[in-house]
Amino acid sequence: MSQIDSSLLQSILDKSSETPRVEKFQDTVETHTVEVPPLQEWRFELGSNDKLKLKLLKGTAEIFGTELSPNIDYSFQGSLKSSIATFSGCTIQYWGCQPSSEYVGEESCIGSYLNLHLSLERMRVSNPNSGPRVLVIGPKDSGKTSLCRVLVSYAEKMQRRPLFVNLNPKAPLFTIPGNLTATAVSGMLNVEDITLGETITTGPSFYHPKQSLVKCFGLENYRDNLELYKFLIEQLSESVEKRLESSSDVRSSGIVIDTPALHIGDCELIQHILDRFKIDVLVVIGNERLLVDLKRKLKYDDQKVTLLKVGKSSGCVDTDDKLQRELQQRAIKQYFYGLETAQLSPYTIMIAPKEYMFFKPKELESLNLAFLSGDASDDVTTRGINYSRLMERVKKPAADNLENAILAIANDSGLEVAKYISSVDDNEGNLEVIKTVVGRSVLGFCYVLSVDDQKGKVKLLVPSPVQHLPTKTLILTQFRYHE
Amino acid sequence: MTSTQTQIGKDYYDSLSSLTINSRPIIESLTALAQENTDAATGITKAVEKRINKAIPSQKLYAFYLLDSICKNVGVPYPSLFGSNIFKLFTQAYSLVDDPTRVKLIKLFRTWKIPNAVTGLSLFDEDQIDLIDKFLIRATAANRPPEQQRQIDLSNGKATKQSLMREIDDLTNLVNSRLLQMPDDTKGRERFQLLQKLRAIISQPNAIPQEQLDFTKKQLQSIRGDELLRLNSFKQQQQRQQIPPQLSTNQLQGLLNAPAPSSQAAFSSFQMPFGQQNQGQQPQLNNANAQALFNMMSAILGQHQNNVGDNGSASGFSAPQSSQSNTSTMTATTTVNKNSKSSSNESSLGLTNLEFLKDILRKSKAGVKITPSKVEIRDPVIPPGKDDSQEVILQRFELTQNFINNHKPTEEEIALIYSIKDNQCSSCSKRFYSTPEGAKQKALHLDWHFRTNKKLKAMSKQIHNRSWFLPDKEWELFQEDEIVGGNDNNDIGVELNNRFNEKPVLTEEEMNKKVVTIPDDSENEIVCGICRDKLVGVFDDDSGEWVWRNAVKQRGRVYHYSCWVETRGQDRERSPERN
Repeated sequence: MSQIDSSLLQSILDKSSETPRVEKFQDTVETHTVEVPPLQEWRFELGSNDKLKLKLLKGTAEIFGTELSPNIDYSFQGSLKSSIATFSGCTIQYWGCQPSSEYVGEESCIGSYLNLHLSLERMRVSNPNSGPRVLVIGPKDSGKTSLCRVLVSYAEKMQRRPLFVNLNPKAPLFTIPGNLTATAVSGMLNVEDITLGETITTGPSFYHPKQSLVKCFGLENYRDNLELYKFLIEQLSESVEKRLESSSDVRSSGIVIDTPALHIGDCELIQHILDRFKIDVLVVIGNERLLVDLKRKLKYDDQKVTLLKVGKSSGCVDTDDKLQRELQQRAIKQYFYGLETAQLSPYTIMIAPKEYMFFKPKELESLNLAFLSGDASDDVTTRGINYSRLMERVKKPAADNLENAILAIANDSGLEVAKYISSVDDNEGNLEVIKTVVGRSVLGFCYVLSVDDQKGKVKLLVPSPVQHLPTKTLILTQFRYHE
Repeated sequence: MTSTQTQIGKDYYDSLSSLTINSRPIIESLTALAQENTDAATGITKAVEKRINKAIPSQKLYAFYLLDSICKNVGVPYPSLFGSNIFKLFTQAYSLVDDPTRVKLIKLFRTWKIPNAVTGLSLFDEDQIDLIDKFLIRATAANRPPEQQRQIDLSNGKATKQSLMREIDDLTNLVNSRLLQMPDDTKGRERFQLLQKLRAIISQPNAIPQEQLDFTKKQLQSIRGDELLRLNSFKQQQQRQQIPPQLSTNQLQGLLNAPAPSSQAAFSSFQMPFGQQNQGQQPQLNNANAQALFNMMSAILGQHQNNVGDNGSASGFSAPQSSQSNTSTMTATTTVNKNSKSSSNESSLGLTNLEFLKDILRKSKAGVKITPSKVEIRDPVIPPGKDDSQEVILQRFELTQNFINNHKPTEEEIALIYSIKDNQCSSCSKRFYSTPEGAKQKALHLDWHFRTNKKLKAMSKQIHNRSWFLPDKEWELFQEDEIVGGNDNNDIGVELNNRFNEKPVLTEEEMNKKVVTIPDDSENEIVCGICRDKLVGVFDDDSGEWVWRNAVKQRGRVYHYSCWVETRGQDRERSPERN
């Protein structure tokens, strides 16, 4: 026993003595400097195996609104498309690898972003009781998330604590993808971590951690179940409203909402968000037409709601599905294992699936929606919510549907779970469970490592050391993870 | 000193411990004791000095009263004995005590300045009294919070052209008299010339907006402070020639390592236990201003353009150091260079200043009124009255399509998210105002970094996990102060996590109740079969045997009881290897 340990120790020692030597070598050999003139930005792209280090030598610079410190060697790893903008002009030194693409873009939007921010700040000052609620809408790859990050970061710099709401289930924000989240930002964002997976851990973190409210949508595309999507938006907005009521610091700072790529066909959905979150400012990025159409179609009080367009940054790049996947996988990995600088230790436990209830979000055919168009929406508003269309019970949780899946741990507190666990086919009962858990925030996620159908055992990776999962209800999401 | 004298000194020090309240009888009896033992005066002086240095801040004052009483009532030899060290003693104590005590110390000091009716001399050595006097002038100015400072400025009356002219004339005289003593000070000559030019500008009949006058007044005040310091340091240099150069090097390093000047001025007297070091910090600040003023004026008058770049902080230092040994100048220069933060701060200060002052003068020539916000924002001496100025700038921002897309942010607007908070954290990029409050926040922030970094370093030794997310109700009531409130926030995660663990965490008592007696053939130390940490044997008084605490023995192996409880009945495996 002890011998194995010592050899293991030796190998660790070998590793740790090796790595810095390599870095030093690169450090001295390949450093490049970039001069970025005022109001321009340096754009760079990394491949999945790249590791880029950089440092601010002169001037001031920011990544999506978060200022770089001249005293930190920043490191970026894995697929990434990012940019460093500067108001004052700056010099950046980078090393470690040659980005697959890098250039200085002469047009930067930071000027108009700052205008927008300061206008919002003016609203905050003039109405300290209720900060502006901003909704950002735009086509795919138009820089919605970047703008949101900039607005949130600038506000944070001015001692605000805005609520950052993400309604895009494809993009992970302070959690893994597939969720709608709301997070008050009271500390700087992590510039090195593009997916911003940092939420509270039991350990220390270099940046102030963020405490998110997470509603599990479980599907990648909001159109896969618009009813569930809208329902969750409603639930989220209710929680947000209560949060604003109890935290005056957040209330006075307002909300910034990121969205999936919505277009004019989603007018009804946009109206829904507008009403639910009591939006004051709707910002459309890069699409004049969409703005005009929205102005015509949306119902709003133009004394209270301002519709604006900001230009699309020339730095916006098309993110292909591959990059999207890689970002999603990275966010999931970070959820369990933490950042490289602050690693976490997830645990594995064995459970018997028959002791748990599995639900999954229903995938509604968008065709159906077209058929039901007007009537369907009446259905929801007048006759209440049809819970059977939101989720369904997974009747036979087994290898073919569970393998590698991400499960959300639903909050079923207050529910007599014993009553429902064994009665898989009891539709009434299942509906009860769905009703209870569907709108609630989830506690966390686990990942199915392996399934043994014969023994009726499932091996799960869970973030925290527990003997049993904290609840009996699990939501099977559409997301799969591969270690 | 004989051994009896030493003994008297010791006894006297012991009796000083009764001086915990301001009591006349105690002070009188201690004075009498000092009178009876004048042959042990050195020992008694040392004892009183020691008492002043060692007493808790609130009691230092009483020891000073005793010192005062001894010197005034007993007289020779005490005043000369205390006098040699009184400046250090006084300033050190002054920097440690609270404000009310400071006021009392100042009152006490005033009585020392009154000359003796017979001899016409003050109680202590003239030089020392002088030093304290100057120290107090600066300390009281630096110690005032900016708002108060501003009020004082206001109460002094608004700056008028006349008052400025008087001030300039006065300063010109001051510089002139210094130049007579230091004929090779080129900076001083420059200053002399520039002051005359500034006088010419102001004496022009054009109206100059009030804000600019006020600002110029402040600048002039800081030049005056700087001038006094230069005079002072000149005197000190003369003194220093008798002391080994070692000291001056130390002093220099002390002052150069001092925190960024702009932010810390208000706290200088707290952070600088030595009066001498304190003096060093101020010129850094004043030089920046003074030089900015020079730069501005040179730029305006189209002269010395090339000098602007040379007017770095290092050259600012070299003037008063001219007569010092080479080594200390070297140290000064290198440290300045190394301390990139403070020097970059200064240069940026200098730059904004230059821009701003150019603006003032250009506009004052044209007679244009500028908005007061400009003064607020770029005023490096008095920290910005952040709320007012910010609001004024924000008023320009309209939430309209045209404005958002076409407005080009000006420097002062960009400054709102950058240089308005010019005190940047050296660990991350967070910025703070250069106000006492900002400094306080920064101190808290740095504490947080310190704790976090310590924990991050220890991270590999511990196991950490992602916490569960909060249920809706708890999130709705969550306060961000729990994260950034300056408390040890890393416990939140643990606490949140435990909420969902069905088994409550064992208390220490519970764990320690479980003991395993160490077998005779076993080592005292053994490794836990689960966490692989050591179990170290201790002697248990109750049983009279060596045991492992928090331990349990199962199937021939010993585990921590807490580890065992956590994993019992659980076919838990290690998490898979990370790739």
